[in-house]
Amino acid sequence: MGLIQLPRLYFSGYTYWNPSTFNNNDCQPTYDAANARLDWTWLARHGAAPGASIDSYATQPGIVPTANDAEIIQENPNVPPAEWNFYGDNACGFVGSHEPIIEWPAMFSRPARNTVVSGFTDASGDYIGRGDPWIGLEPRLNVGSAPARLVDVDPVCFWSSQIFLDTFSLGDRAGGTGFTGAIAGRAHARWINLARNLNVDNKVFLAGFAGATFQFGVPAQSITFFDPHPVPGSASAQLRAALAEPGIKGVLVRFTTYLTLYFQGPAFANMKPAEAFSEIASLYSQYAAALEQHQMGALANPPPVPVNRAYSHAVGWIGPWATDELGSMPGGRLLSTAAPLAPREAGLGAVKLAPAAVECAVDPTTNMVTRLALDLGATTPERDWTGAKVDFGTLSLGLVPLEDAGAPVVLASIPYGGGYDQASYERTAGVIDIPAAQFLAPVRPADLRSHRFALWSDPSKPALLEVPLVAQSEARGVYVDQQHQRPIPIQLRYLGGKPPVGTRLCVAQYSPNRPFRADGWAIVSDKKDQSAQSPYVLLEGAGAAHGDGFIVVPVPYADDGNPFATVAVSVRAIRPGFPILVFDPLAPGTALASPPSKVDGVCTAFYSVVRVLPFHNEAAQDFHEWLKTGPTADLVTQRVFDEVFGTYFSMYPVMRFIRDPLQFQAWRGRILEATDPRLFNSATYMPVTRSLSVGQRRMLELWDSYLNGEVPALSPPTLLRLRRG
Amino acid sequence: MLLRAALSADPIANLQRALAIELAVLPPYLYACWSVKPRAAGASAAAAEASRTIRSVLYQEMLHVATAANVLNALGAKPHVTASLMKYPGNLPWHVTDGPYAYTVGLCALSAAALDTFKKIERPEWDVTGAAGPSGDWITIGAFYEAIKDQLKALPDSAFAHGRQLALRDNPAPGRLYQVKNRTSAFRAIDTIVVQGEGHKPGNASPQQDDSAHETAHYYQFDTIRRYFDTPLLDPARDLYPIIDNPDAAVFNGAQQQLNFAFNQLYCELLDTLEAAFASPAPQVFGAATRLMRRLELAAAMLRNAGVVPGSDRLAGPTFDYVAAGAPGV
Repeated sequence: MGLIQLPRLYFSGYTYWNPSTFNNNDCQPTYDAANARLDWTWLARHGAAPGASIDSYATQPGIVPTANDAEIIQENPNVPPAEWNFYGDNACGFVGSHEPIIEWPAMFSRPARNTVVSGFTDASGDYIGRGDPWIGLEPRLNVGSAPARLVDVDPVCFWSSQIFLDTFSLGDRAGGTGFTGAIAGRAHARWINLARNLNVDNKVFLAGFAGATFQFGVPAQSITFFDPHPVPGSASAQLRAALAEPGIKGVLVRFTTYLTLYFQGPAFANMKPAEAFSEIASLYSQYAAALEQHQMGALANPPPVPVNRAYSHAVGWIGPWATDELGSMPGGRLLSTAAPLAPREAGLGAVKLAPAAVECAVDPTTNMVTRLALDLGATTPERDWTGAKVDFGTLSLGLVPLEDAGAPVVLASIPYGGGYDQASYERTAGVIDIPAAQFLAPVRPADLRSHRFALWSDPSKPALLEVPLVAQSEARGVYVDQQHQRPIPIQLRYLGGKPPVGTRLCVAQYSPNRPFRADGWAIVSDKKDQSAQSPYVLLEGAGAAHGDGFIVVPVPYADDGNPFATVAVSVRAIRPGFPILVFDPLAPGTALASPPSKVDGVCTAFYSVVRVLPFHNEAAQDFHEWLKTGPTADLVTQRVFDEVFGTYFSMYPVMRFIRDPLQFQAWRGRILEATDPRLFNSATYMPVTRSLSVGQRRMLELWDSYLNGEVPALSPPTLLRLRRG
Repeated sequence: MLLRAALSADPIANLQRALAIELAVLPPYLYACWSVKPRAAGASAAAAEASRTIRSVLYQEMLHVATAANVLNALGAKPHVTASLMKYPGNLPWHVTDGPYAYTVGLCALSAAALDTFKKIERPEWDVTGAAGPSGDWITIGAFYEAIKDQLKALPDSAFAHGRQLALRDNPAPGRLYQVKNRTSAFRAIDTIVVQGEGHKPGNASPQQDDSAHETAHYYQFDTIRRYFDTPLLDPARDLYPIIDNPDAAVFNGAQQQLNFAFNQLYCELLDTLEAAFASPAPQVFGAATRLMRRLELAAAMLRNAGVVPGSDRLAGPTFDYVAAGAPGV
């Protein structure tokens, strides 16, 4: 697996996030996300109408609930409906010398420190902190192309965050050192921890207290090294050598983001959240007025845009990517949250740790474990806005018998200072290598097959305990169109190896139990007498036993040498929405029980989020019939503008470079190109939100043909097919 | 009306002249379009429709420019954008300069007279009495294109195999931006230009309607908004900026001269960019050129906001003069 492989380069700094926040208002139902349209019923009650600019509504604070606004949850009256970043374009990346460029430096700023490689653990296990050409290089996403994009599968749900990216680079060609390569798949937020920062000083706000881990793989065949003749023994030379080893398929990049900073810049100095929201609303207003002046020719230059990025602290590592490892999910033995752990500091309550991973190196000649690598990148919380880690005292990493029979075995001690304190954490991105010389007890591979890993302060109450059976999927974000079915491959492991014969997998379908708050998932039900949501997708799988809201499928066992088994389930669209599929592996002999009716599993559950895209096939068919009547090109363009582009135009100021239907028509070639479903997994795909339905895409195609003078042919439903990533 | 003398024996020279004519109509259309106030400034729906109509024609003229460039590139010629720019007011390139069919094209705010001129530019072949003017000169631009097609008939398909075609995705308007690879596609490309300007010939469809792309021909689009001045749906005092006709930079004040110079610099940068784009191995106009087009409108708005032209009660408008790169300012 990747974690145990060396060399491992560490980087630290910041990520930047520039989401457009009008579509994820968790206080007011401005947007009907399931159907990807503005909620005009709501908006009309607040003075905004279709066809008119809704900017003045979106950017004003103090929306007062009206008589029919029972669903409003406006905790802070200063929050404008467009929230904290109306002008975002969903770009994201690592803060570095090239990005992000601040549009309005008098008001906004970015962290001064760039994200750079700070050192590496070399092939022999020694930490190298200086003298290597790669130390100081910047990790970068999508150099020379459209920026990587942060996209939530469900716009109002943080547990569905994902990054669409195309390339990863370390350094650049001009510098003559580093490498670049194409990405295999997306990166998804994993191990999301809402209690990552204890916020003792109350200086962390919004989602600043949360943390998440992202990972992606870069296939070896796509990698180009910038330094043709690396210095022997250097990180470059060692990584190249590792890539040539059997069992390695590329480079793995894993990073953890935490302690997110909002409202950065002179405009917000020393402000509390309520004040900061008032200030951003004021800046929105200033910008709109200046832009109007510019458009009328009264201002020579366009005004600076109030782009209000957020910045997360970030630590990460780059290392060899093992052949049997998923690209977007940390592998290894998974230690999950168990008992809360009490900090040493008086006054702080017990805290649940977030998951960790352990991997082992084994010497085949001695059949002994020679090194353990423990990834605590996501695990331990910060105390406050300084990033200081909470001190739980010395922790023990050890093994506990599977059947809870027998005493725990301590393998290693992990002190606070020099172990998991802030300096140590930032130096190695939370990864702790423990060579055999530091083992407190010898470890054999057989021990690993009969025990679970655990991390504790008190052995009777482990803070983290290994989950023997894990079920992970690269398909963390799944998009399904009307009348379509999508497969979801799920990989299962038992103690890091192949699950035994008789293992089964329960896949249950959940829905957020309140549309605009993320505080729990409720299982769906197709029984009409229940208050539960009805299913969004039909679950299917080979040999599946069906229950209400769930299926149980047998896990096939194949003697193929792989340390895992794969189950393929599929989802078929029933109605638009955002179901969550929770995977619960069942050990052989486990009694089949119904899955829990509610799950609070953002941090620890095995799950995928599905987006059943809006149903527009009928609208596309109506459009097609209408074209046969020979409407003018202008009318056709206006209709497509309204039915396909209108929502994006209204909601995302970044799309206003297409100002009206005429310009929309002038962009049609580019629009067809950017919405090509074959680009779906690329950061260049439009719309960035991935909310274009197959019916809407069909309307674009019909429109293009019509404007080219082609009489549309009959389009049976079979034509409404897309291949999404 | 075009002069028959415009027709060279060399079809490439003729296509170059056609390109020059297509480019020459853009400034007058732009000038008229920019004189219309936006709805936000209190203009009527008719004004908005008039503005939209002219812009729609402009986009199609850009398609015609791109189409002519594709035919030239296919023939291995380099499309010249800046070689034969006209001065306004004046006669369109290769058009008669006197007699009953002569007309002057100027830079004028939208008006009934301006629209009458635009209709003359886009006049369809069947809308005039007599197929040809004195000395056998043609009445319409379409006839000129037909003559070019006759010349191209003599060329083998291999003559059109020089590539460098603008990408289909760069099509700015309804209608197909043909990739010209042989004689047939060259004819189709030229037909698109004629049809969009004049509409289909009677017998194929109503003269108002081009039923291949479901567009109204430019002539009839202009005729429609011309009627707004008669009804009057369009009230100049309410709907139009009082922009001076046929601006003369010599009478501008200093600030206006500077802003006009800045406009002309942008305009010429746009032309140079287009010329370079057409000549590139993989031509594309989106990007630098489209950004410049956007800036051009803003530069015209700035000039308009610089007050009235000395000695008149009208606001300034751009002169669309060619300014060589690096030319000293005013």
